[in-house]
Amino acid sequence: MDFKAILNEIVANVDGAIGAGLVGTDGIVIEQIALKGDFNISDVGAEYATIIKNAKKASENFGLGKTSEILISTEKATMIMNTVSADYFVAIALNLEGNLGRGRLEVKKALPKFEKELT
Amino acid sequence: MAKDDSGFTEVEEYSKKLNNNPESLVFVPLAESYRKSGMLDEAIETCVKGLQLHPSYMSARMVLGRAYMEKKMYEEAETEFRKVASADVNNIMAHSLLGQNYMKQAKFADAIKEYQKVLTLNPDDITAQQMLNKALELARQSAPPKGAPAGSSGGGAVEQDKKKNLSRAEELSKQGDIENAIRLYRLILEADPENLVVRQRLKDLELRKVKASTLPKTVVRSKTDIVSSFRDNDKITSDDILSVMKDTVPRTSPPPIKSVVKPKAAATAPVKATPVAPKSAESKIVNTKGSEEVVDIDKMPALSKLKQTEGIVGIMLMDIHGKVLSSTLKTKAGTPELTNTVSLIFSKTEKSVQAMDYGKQVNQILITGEKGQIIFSKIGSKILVVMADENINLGKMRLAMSEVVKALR
Repeated sequence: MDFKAILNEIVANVDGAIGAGLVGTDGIVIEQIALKGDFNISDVGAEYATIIKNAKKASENFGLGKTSEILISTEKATMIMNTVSADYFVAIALNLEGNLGRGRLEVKKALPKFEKELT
Repeated sequence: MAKDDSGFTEVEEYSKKLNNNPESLVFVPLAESYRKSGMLDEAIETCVKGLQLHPSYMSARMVLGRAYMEKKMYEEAETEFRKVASADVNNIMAHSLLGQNYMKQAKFADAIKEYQKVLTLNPDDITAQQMLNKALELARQSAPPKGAPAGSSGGGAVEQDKKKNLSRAEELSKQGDIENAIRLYRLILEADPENLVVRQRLKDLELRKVKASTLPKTVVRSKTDIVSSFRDNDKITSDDILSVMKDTVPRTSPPPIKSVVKPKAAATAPVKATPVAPKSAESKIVNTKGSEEVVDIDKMPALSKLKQTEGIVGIMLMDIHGKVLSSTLKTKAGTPELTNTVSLIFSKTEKSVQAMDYGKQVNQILITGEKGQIIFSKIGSKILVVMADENINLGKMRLAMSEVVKALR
């Protein structure tokens, strides 16, 4: 199973998913799926990486240890980011009507598959 | 050549996958693994082959550019990064790598332009800020000495005027005369529309103006202002920009201007706005002394209920400027450090979200770590921070939080 197939599986199972991607912590996108024309993780991989970096810092300051998941909600969308390894993370974006619980679950379910593919 | 075992494992795995499906995009992580293992020729070859099949795959061009750069093939690297930057002018990574590539070639003026672009896109990029400082310093050092051919006297006068206006605009900005500072920056920008740093300054001031107009008058100097002022020490001043542009473009430059270099310590000091936190006052409810608006958690039913929710280990209510209104958080870090962290994560995440066009304001941030979870919720001008253990029922926590949100609104 390649990365695209795993990402496809995630977005296909989550209502309201706009797209998903596998991104390096350096902002380089490995693979992505877009269900909406204007969703393009490749363009904003660095921003996702910045969010992850800042969240890791906050997590350390609050004594939470290693960061596994980050969820950001805005007035337009919700983003879920899960770390796959020290170098990669998977991100999914949902619209406001999106099923957040399902999104978290599907990403968590997919993590071992990414790990397997990446190691 | 540095090669480690993990790199080889990855390489083998990806190679196998690529052999099974030569059209797969797995060539990018494969090339990246080669690059990280120091196998630059293999990384380049993999990318070049992959790009023949997927020429518009920009991530591959980034990996290829990096491999070229590490191999000191700077022109080839530049070509790849330029292709990415042309396809997407807002690609921070491409501009940052272009900056690095120019620095390695001692093309400081070009590096400055790239780092300025990075900072326009993300003013909080500390690395870019530091690199810009370094590029400015190196450009200054490599500038022609006094007596070198300068521009015409007319050009020099224009430059002097520009310098004067920039200094005045900065002075006004420091004095809090935002209105006039904005007016002046606009004038400067009219004369020099390509000046990205001035454009950024103007944007910052306009944002400050909007914020100031929505803040209560009692807020005189907030924590974020203090944080900003710490950061300002490390930001590039108009003098820096002018002097470097002057030095690196001698044709139109006046002779070096004295006292334009800011103190070296400020220019090179690490950007660390976090104040040293006192290690006391951690375990009990902390209400900010002297604050005009203090919230007693136990006297506010919704907050009290939230505090008692199973799995919640602490809550903190603060305003968006970092002033703590109430806190029961117990952490190793002191309260000022925590509020600083919260303010910064909100502002930085908001900037990223805006850059991604996912909205203008971040409402909530949840971070899950191995030892627990933390939720930051913005409620009007306040931020509620809830820390929970790893077993918390997120649904219940959000329910309890929604009551607090209602109460605070």
